[in-house]
Amino acid sequence: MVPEIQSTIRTAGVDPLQNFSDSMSVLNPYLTSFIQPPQEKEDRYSEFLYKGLTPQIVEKGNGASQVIDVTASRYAEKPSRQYAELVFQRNMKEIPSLLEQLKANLQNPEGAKFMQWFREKLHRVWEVADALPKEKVLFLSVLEEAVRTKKWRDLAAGQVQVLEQVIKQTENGTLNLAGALSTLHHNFIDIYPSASIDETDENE
Amino acid sequence: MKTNNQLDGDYFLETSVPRQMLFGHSLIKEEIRKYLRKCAQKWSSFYVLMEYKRSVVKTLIDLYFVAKEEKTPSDALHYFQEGFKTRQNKIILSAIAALLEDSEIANDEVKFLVKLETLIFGSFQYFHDLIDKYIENRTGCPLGKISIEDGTPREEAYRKFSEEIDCVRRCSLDELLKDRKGQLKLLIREGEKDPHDKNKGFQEALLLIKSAIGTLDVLKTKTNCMKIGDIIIALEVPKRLQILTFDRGFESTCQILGKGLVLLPSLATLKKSRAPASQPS
Repeated sequence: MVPEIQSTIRTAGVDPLQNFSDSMSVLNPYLTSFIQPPQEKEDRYSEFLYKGLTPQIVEKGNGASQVIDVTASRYAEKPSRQYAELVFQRNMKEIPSLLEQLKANLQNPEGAKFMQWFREKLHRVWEVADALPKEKVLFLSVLEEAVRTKKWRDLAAGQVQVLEQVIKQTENGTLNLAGALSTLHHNFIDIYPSASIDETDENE
Repeated sequence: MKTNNQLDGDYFLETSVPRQMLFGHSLIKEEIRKYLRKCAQKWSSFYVLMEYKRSVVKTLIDLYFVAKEEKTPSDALHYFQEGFKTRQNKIILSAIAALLEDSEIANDEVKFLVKLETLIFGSFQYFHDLIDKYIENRTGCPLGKISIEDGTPREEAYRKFSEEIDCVRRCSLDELLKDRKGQLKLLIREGEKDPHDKNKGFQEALLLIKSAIGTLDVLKTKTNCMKIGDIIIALEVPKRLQILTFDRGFESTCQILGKGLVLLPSLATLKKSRAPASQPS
């Protein structure tokens, strides 16, 4: 015997009236405003995600403008691991070309902007550091320390070359954090802060 | 004894060199680099490695946990400076204070902790990258071999390291001292003469050795071992290596024992040498 088909099958939490109004919204888009609260569109293009600095996004549609207010509170949330990895990879891919240009301009003022843009790239990755694996955060920290308090003109071409190689190899997975540190150590790239005093003062 | 700036041959790096190379004043770092670039091979010992780990890595790990407890990075550093006053720690804390000049680190405890972890991991790795070869471990000190275990959750690894770096006297220091008793007696005898009697660092260690020369076993304690550290290092170093150090306590020890020494200049000396000559009025 074939069981009787129930006409009242429902999905938990979904009212049959909701289905009806959803189907109506296809015919009349203005109905949607009665049915659902407006949903935020994900901002995939902003340069300053997660900092609350994103400008308002104006979305045009149906002859009217809908303003999506991107609040700071939204960006206070921790970004996803995948997103953080994407930001890390994207910026690490872009850094070598900046360093290449920096290397060519160490002796002239042009170099300053490449140095500045390099720092900005690192800064962008810091914004999502909470969601990155510890090894990547430490690597980012190492890179930041490698150029802390250094002006572009203080760097030698060889040092920039080493930084470039370390970033490339770390990004493509052929160098781990210990390997990156070793390379920097062997090339006398100082990533450690300097004291203002001398430990031998007492013996003077 | 060679106290001039001889730049060839193999050097034995005493603890103050890697420590200052990491956290010393920028002029000091620059000066060390000059020597390291020109030396053939850089040697050290497991005893020096133990001293380095205890004075650098352990200090950073201790500060990391203090920073986790305190409200701000400045509070952590302030508390730490109050509690630890050894001169070795002084430069590390001074260097970290310089890091806090960056407001992003000073106002962000999470970032400060990341920076401390960077320094812990980096300083741990640094010594191994710096040294080419190790001399025979005559003291049998096992502490130099302690590592921050890879694969263990980091804080757990720090805790383990801190526990293991504490000396439990599983070494053969007493045997080394007994074996070198003749040299210790020579140090006592010559140490009373000028100019060694005015070498403060050397005299402090010598006083302890004098009091224990009858029963050298008493020197095999954590505190005593640290107090006579310079003499232990000098006893271990083969004569063909020159000891590279900032520590003037080595001047007397090396001169009496006939060991090569390259004494690096202090910050004050470096600053004086760089200051423009005063104009005659």
